[in-house]
Amino acid sequence: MSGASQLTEYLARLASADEAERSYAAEDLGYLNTSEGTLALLDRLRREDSPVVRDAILQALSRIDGDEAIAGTIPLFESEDPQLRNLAVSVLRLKGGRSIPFLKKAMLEGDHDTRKLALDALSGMPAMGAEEIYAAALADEDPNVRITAVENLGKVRALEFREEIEGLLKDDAHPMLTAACLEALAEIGDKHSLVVIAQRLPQLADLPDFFLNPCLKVIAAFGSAGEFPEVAALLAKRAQAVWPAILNALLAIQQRCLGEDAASLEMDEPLLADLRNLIETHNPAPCRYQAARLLGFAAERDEIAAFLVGCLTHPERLVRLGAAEALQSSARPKLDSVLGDLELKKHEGDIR
Amino acid sequence: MADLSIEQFQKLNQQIYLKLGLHFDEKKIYFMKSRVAKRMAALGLTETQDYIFRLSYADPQGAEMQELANLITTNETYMFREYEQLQAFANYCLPEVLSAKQARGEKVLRIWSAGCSSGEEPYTLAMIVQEVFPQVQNWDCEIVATDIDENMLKRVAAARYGERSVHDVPEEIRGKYLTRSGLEYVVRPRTAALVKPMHLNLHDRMAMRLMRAFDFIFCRNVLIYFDDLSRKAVVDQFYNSLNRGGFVFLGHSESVGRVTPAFRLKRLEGHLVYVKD
Amino acid sequence: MEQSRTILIVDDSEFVRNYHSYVLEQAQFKVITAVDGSDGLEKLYSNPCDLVLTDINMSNMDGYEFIRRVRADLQYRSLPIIIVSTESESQDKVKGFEAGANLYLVKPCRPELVVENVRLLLAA
Repeated sequence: MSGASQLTEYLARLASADEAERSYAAEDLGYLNTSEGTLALLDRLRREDSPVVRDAILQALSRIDGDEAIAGTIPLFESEDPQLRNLAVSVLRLKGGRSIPFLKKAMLEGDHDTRKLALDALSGMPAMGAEEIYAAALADEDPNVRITAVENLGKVRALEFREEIEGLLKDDAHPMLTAACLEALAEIGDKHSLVVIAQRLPQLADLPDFFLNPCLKVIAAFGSAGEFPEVAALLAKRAQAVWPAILNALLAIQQRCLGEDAASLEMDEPLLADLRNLIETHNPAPCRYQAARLLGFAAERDEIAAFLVGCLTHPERLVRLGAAEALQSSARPKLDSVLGDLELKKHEGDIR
Repeated sequence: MADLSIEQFQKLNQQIYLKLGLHFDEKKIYFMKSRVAKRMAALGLTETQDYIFRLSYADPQGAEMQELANLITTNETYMFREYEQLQAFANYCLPEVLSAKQARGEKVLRIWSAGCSSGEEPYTLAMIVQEVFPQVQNWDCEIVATDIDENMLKRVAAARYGERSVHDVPEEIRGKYLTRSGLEYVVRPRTAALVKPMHLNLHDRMAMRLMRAFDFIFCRNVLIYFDDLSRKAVVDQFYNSLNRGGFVFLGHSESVGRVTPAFRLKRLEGHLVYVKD
Repeated sequence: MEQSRTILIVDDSEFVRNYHSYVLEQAQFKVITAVDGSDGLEKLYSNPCDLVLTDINMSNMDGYEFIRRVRADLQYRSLPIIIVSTESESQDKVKGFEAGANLYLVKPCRPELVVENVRLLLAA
């Protein structure tokens, strides 16, 4: 069958009373990949009520090469129907870099909702080619546009925007924007970001959770010995909700120091006591696991090693696993026989 | 082993849900950590954050997600696998569809086991149907078992299985529907007759469109090996292949799978299933 | 007691899910998250929740459709639902209430406002 007669057939089926037939017609037009198909699909979309067929139409548009399919999808950002708006975002995402010139236009001409959706369409795409869009977005008057831009850039590790995002950490910024910048810096920041954060925000202990959590992620990513004491002190001062982030940061710093300086950081008595207490009292299992792992960095001390050996028979599985890992990675030669005695390797199948 | 923080585990979980349709309970954090560690070792990565970034935003063909999928899912097929789902099917969905048909005077029941592999699933369904509804003998009932692999389809036709395939078959069912043949079990002819093996490539759009008018579709073994766009295309087609009131079963352990919102999620006494209204 | 109350957060932005989780967990709520309406329904049906916070613009299933389906189930007729969306036009709010939401907050919202409104609805 020639392309022209196929087109005619598909266009006819696009008007079928049967929902499945219309979906198939849309799909076939997508694979046929002609611009006449684009026009027919966009036209049908304006009148189509069935969510299934709408979805098929947008999938088809994502398959058709050329600018018309993209240009025809952008106006859907202004639709009253959220399904159409969100299908448009998905399709433009699938088009990847080819969408960028059109999204740029939408950013320049659209209202704040449209600008936000344009950024949603860029989500997950490398920033290359969209630098102008992002530069405009980071300076946009609408906070949601700025927040979405920051989130996008952090996710795809657009390192070139680090300084600009650090620059958005201001006293008068909306807390949601500040939080977004902190989250992004956990991916694209560096050691210097920690300095900027310390300058612009209050002390860690005084931060609300929605700032403290992302700060701790930045510290986990780039922190070192200098940050350790302040983070460690948080364990006693802050509620359980933040403990996973605190412990994660402490573990990350310990591992970094071990890797870089071949020596882990010494942990003071209050911290060691806090960690033991955390394991011994009824707390979420993953926290207890992290605490056990962290104690491993002090396992050269007899009482800590003994405590960890005791944890090997703890009723909570994650505590046993954490203790075993901690002991295995510590530098204590006698422990192999201890582990052997307890036949741990047989019981805990996941550990090698 | 590099660390996997709770938030990182959640991030991974979200990506796995979006791309494979699977959910992992937070108790599985250690399980996930060891699988991720394997992948990181294979890729030469030392920071977990880098692995998550790669998986989420630097995996355009979905190749890394496939590698991870192979490590986090089991590929075995045996009879009465995913028992909870089969209970939902046997105790609620099947009776519901049957009584609606009886009320309409219809006597046709069609089930599709998509990606049936060596056939344990379609024969399980045949046993359940005969157990729940013995009168099915007087109906036009067909369990279409499709697979892309001709060798697998030959095994379906042979209807002969070893101990490993039948170890989960409830005792009372075993005697009724299987006969011992040496070290193997053969599906009894009356039950085997319900199953029709058929070659089908789920990626073949035109062949898929010919699959219509089913009351139940089971596709529980293969979708994790599809990238997210292909999986969506297959599941969207399942919607068109089902009759109104029909059910689709995609789940893998605790997951119901990811489907088009055209399907409605239904709660049935602790089970979750997707139905086409 | 607030400690036993569970909030379901439905939003396709990981950052927004995290942000609201941190805010609500500090206010002693337990939090479950979902990436879109479909995931939200699955999570709702699998976990007892006392209140839902949902976005509108999400792919796969948007917020209005999610709310309609929640309300279609008798068990969830009076489940408190708060929309948290970037859309700020009055017709969006009308749509939200027509779908069955109890409150509509416009992003970005101050953390205190979120907690206040959650507490308000739970006390009602």
